[in-house]
Amino acid sequence: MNSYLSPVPRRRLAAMQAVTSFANRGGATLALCAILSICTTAQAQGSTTMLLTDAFGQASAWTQEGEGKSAQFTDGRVLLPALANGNSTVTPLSRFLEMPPASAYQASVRITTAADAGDDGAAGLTLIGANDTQLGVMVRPREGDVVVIHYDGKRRGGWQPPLLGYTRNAAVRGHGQPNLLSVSSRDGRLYISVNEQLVGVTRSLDFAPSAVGLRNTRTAATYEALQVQGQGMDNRLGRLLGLVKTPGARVLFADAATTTSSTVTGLFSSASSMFKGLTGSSAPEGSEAEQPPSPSKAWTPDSKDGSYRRDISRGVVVLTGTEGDDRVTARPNMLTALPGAPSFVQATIRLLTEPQDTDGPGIYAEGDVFSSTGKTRDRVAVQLNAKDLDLIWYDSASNKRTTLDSVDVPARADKAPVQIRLVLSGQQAIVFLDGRWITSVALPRSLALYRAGVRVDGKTTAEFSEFTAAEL
Amino acid sequence: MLKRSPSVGRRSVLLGVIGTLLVMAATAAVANERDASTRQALLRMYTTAEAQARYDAMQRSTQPNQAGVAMAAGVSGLAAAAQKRLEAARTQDDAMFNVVEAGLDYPIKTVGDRDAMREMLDRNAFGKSYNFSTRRRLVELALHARRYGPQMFERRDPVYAARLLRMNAYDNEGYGPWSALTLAKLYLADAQIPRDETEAARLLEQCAQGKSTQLIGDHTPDVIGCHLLLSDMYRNGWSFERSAENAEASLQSARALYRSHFNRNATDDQLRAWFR
Repeated sequence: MNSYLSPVPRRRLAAMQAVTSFANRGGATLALCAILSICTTAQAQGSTTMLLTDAFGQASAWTQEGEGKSAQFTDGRVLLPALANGNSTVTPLSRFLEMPPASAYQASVRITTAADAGDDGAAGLTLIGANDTQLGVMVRPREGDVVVIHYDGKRRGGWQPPLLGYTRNAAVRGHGQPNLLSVSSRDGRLYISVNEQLVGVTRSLDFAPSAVGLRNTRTAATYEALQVQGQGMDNRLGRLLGLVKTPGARVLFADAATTTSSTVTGLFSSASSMFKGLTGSSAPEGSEAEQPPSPSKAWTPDSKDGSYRRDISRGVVVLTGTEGDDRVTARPNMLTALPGAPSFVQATIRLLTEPQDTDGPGIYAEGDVFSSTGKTRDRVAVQLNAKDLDLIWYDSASNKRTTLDSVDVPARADKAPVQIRLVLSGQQAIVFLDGRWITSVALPRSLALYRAGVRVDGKTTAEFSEFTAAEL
Repeated sequence: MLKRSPSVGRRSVLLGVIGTLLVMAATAAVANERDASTRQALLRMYTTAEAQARYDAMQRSTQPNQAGVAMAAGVSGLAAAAQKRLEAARTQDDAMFNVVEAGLDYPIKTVGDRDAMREMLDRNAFGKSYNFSTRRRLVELALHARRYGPQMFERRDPVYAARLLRMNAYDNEGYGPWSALTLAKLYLADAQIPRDETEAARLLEQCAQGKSTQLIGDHTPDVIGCHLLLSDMYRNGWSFERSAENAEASLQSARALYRSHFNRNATDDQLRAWFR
């Protein structure tokens, strides 16, 4: 199966799996990793990599919904009728995007709207995230402007205010004439150009698309020459993934003596050099010069239910849950992050028995929450269920559990390892799966990371390795 | 008509190319020098004028209340006596804390002074007795941006400073514009910190929104500083697309903020000298 290489909404999965059929063959994942590592190396040097070119010769390469089902693919172009409901959240045509981790990108397409279209006729590109967040970059030829619409997958009520309001530019040509629309991401921002002239820039986002789509309202539109290029590393995503050095960041606990993960390796090298730099100075609270606890002695099971096993030679923790609502948790003895400093928790999880519906393994982070009434210790957890990934908030004062976000993830190969990374920055929680951005959610309160661990919810067994917690 | 030989043509083309390259190299050198000098300017933590303004503000805010003085002296003398006892009981630790909180420099003359000051700063910069002024002073001393920095930190330590700054530059509850501005400067200009224009831009944009949860102190000068630095970033094309329009918009925000807060006008050069 797809082994989490394409975290995209399930409804788009069928078409995407057809496109990425190579991932179904044995050994293909390794090959893909090899290809990706080449891409990543090339991108780190700032070179351009072609990620997708589509001359619209194959309708089967596209997921078609609503009006997309009556799209006409002819002569290297596609004619798409207008959405009947302009407020619809549907993107009629979409296509999977194999984006390397932390990649900056540029997507472009030539659009010609109907010559007889009227006011408010708009056409453009949609960038679709794994959590069904959609950013639509729309051109309105009659009005001569551009707008970036924002749908957040119903997490905060669906449609959000535009990321970029209607921005007029003389470069936008009228109905019936071709407009070359281009969207570049760089350092978390989207740069919008029409006919090679910069029209607008959005604010900084924590977002990475896993699919690209076409969408037009109040006018039919013809699309030609779709291209998506990788353009080096996105500094913002790179920072969140630990690929960019953070001065003074400190490893709180690391359970892997050796690892092949480039992300973790990158983190260790940067963190250790920072740590070295700090040892020369006096330590705040007397803890700065303290080394993280030795992995061989650090772990303790944290609950009586289920079973806990530690294999020191392999550097793994195995948890087995029981039926019902009980959760099995284990946590290492770790250093405490400085309050307010961004931090992350990360682990590689291998399922040994498949979980039932809402059961599954995950990681959690616990932190001090300061308020006028005192200090509480709340918890946020990322849980990998049978079909989706949940981000859960536990409020210690009210003893209440709230699911903040639930994201569809593709099916994975039996016992294939998956790496989960939870980043806490201010009041924001950002989740990466196998080094790919999957969701960003605002927490009810910001957490100062105090401790973290692994967990299993319900009747399943999972093996955890490469557990790491560090400041970021 | 004389015909030029092919070799002459080739030579003139070659000379043309070399000339163009020399002009380009000279232009690039000037641009680099300008860039470097701008970056050096960013490292200035204080100007004399700003330090004076802060001192005056501190003096104004610590003037004794006349009614309180009259009551203490005239009504029974009890309050005055208590005040005297309190004065007598003040330790070096108290004196150091008060000096730091007032934004002044406590003279570090001996190893004992240094150790006492460090102990006081460490105790008050973290945990239960957290006080922003002491954490800020640790940062300033680590950066050698205060008078007795070299006595306190033998070697300048921007990595340690950055770690402390991150505690107030990202946290929602303990957010402080000064920390965001100073960390952004380190990302842009410090030789020992990996240059990171993106993160600097992110910190400055957040700071320019004017949000602050630090309860004590006036943060307007720091927010003005964020606007000014954002303006420089737009002008130099750091992180953002180079944009004179956005640079001017940020500068205007700085001017407006200064005017509304201090109730007077200042030239752009003055603003840069005082706040950046």
